[in-house]
Amino acid sequence: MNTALLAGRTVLVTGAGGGVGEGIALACATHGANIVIAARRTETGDPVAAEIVRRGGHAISVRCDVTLRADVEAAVAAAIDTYGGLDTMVHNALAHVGPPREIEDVPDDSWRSMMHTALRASYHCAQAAFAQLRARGGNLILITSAAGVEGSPYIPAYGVVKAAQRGLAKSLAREWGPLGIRVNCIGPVAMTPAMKISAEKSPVFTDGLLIGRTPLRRIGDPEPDIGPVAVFLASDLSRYVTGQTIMVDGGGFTAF
Amino acid sequence: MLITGAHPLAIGMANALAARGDDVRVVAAEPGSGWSTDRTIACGFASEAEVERALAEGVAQLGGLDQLVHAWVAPGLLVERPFDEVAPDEWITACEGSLEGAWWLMRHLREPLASSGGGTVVFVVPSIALAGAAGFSMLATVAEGLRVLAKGCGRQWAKNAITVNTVATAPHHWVSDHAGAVLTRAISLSTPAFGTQGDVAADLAPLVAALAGTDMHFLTAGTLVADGGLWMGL
Repeated sequence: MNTALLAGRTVLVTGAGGGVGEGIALACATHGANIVIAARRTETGDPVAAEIVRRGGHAISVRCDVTLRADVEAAVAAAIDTYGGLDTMVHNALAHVGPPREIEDVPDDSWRSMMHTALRASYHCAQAAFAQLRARGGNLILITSAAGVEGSPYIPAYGVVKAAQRGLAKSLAREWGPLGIRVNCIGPVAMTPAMKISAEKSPVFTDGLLIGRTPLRRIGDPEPDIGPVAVFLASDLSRYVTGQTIMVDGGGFTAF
Repeated sequence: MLITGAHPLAIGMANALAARGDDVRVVAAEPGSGWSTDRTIACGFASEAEVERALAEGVAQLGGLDQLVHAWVAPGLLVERPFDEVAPDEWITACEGSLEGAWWLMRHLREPLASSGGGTVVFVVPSIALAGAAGFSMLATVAEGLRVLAKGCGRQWAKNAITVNTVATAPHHWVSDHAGAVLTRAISLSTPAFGTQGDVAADLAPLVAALAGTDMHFLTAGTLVADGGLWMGL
């Protein structure tokens, strides 16, 4: 008997070419899942798939711009063609959020790219995966943020799109629960490539403010800290959990 | 005071606040039922330029701006729709369009409020923002996004003596009576504590008026759930 939590299941992760998406993909692979790495650039996605294979797992890499419905549908089709179906869709991809700004100073292209990569892509991912998730009792996981609950004083557009994703997840949990589909969110804080850039530019924020409010006193590591929570949500361990947001942030955000 | 939106909740709010003595203009694509054309500023929230122009016209007509109540959402959000049947153009127009309309509004709102020495902004949303809603996923998506837009602006605008809060109302103010009843049962095991989901003029408008008063100056980025005691998740 294979006791791996995700043995025989297929997990598609968007934005899996680095950061949180990569960590989730690696963690799910460790627990036996077949992985579809969906990344906008194959230069970042291919090495992650190769690493999973090197470790003895199963993974493919597909080029996927999540703002394009056809790309997301093609990624789901690749999961079906390669592994026979899709059990879990993880939408993690997000455009670069940019530097702190007052709302009046946020460039149009920054607002739109966040709206499209976070929210429109959630719509794409949910609809593209729906038939598979319904057929297999699967689940949808959206990567959101504490900013989607408490608002962001620095990047207001980020808070808006992350909150909207939570509203969508709660609604789909109610709508799709009777069909056997679970929908949840993860709100991570992790040392991603984007976070590293922020840390270099603004150590006061990362080393001071962010770690200062985090009881565990460190920024999370995508694979060992964030990934296991995605494994939990993708597995039967969470079979009675839906419509929830799990903050995986070292305790930084504690209020609900 | 400016109130956005022309659905019954927005117009009911406008009439109630006008009856209390506020000088009110409604910002909407067309006058709502029970509201006059001459107190309506045409705006379909179709572009940032249109929103900016409407806001400027409203400020000019009122001779300044103290309060804005944002109750507008795209009409497509108020119709029950299984998510898997939502077409891409519906998603973009109704869901993204509603968020973008609010985003544009907020990008041009701070200056006139600050010029008046400060002010208040109140977002009015259905409480399904907090609970989620089968069949109304786009409405809940927008409502939750708006609630956190209010928080972001609340954080940034306190230094300008501007408060930004949200009032979450019962579903039946937004959707059909039948859908409202279904959503109500999904939100809570019981009926509203008050036995009613509230009257716009008698129950909701006074709350918005209170948020505009000086006594509430230290409350910002809050969500006041005014659904008669239905959703109690906090």
